[in-house]
Amino acid sequence: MDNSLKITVMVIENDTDFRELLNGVFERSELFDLVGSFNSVEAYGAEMLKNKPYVSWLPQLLVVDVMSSKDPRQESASFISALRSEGFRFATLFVSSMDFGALLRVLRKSHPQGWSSLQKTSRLTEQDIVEAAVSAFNEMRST
Amino acid sequence: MSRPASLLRALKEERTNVYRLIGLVLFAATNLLTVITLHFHHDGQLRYLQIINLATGIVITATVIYGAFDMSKRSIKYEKVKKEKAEIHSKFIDSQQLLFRIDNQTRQEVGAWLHGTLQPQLVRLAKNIREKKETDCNIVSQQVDDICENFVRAYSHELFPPALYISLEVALETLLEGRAELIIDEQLTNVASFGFSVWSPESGLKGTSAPIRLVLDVDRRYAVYRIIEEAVANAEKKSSTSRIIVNLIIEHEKIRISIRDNGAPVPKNAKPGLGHSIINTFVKKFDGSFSLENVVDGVESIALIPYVPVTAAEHLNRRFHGEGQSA
Repeated sequence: MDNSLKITVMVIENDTDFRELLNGVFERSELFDLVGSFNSVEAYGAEMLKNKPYVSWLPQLLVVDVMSSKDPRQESASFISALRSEGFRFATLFVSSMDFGALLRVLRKSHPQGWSSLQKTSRLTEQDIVEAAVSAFNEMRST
Repeated sequence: MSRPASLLRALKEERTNVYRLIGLVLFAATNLLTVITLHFHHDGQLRYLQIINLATGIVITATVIYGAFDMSKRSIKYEKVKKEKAEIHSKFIDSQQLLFRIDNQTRQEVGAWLHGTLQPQLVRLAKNIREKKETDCNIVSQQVDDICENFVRAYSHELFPPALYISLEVALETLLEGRAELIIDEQLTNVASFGFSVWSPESGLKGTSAPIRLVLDVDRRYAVYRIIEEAVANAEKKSSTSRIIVNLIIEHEKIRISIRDNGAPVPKNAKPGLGHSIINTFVKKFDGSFSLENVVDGVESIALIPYVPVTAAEHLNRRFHGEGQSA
């Protein structure tokens, strides 16, 4: 497939094994074009600051581990929420080993569309990841 | 301190003895004067002696009375200090006992969970593998997954809900779902605005009328969460409770937490339970206050915690500007 037709995706994941797994999934998939991969949300933020205007640098889909900060007491959802609040449009797939609880419900209060989540388990398949990513992207596109 | 000042201070501290000394000196002087006068007196001199004795007697009596008053005053003050000291000691013992209770209860709970819940699962799994009942590796991995998800993850979330790292709003929505109604200050919600561009002014964020989003530090978030968790659990314990409303607002540099239920009133002179002791501990940690009152149609617990507002934008700016490296 022509790369320009693929969904651009960036991965932010601090767990090396899982980041490599995600990178592999998106590299292999014909639907996606992996344009960046980062080991922490701070690394992502620093790279973003170097690439103005941000709107043309941002991907169509961000796959983010909720706890992908270098500081284990920090999270990534407020970072994504801040970007969306500034008017940037991109879909987000949250991944985490924790329960998401009311996270998506709370995020949807301010930005109703463009979210999905995936819990990390050993049962997770490539298809689960692709489906969740497509779901977030389609939800965003429908707005 | 100068020498006269330190002398005065020493005299003040030892004033009981000073009064005694003055009284003794006056008494001795009067007696000496009386003896000398009686021995060498001429006509008419005894009249002056009577006057001197009377005046000296009055001074000695006044000194003794003043000394006695001063001593009783100091004695009252001493008793007050002694009482305050006893109260502080008692509070210290109470806090220590509470700490031991909490520590003991936590250890018991974790121990009971490890022995009673996790260990049997692992023993069963090991037994099945050893007996080669579980020849299919998929079944074994399924069982390990079940243990991880249903027991280890669930329990670790109970110990410290990871949603608290995300935001108080997410954690409280998760905690209170189906249990209580949550009214939360808009400034603490995802609906509030960051107010200005986090990343740079040129990203072109337009001004907004929405309230500015505030964040609480993790310790305060945890304290607010635990206070609400304990207060809601207490309200739920009453069979008469059918509705609980949690109201969380930022008011005059304070976080005001109100938990109101429509259950039976709290009896007068009711002894505070462990839940209230835990709430008090969290409140005191931040020099806040806690009250529990019977109100119309129910009971209301109110906790106030001092809080200097920090905007989410400031918080994010601190975290992201100039930090991090690309992978």
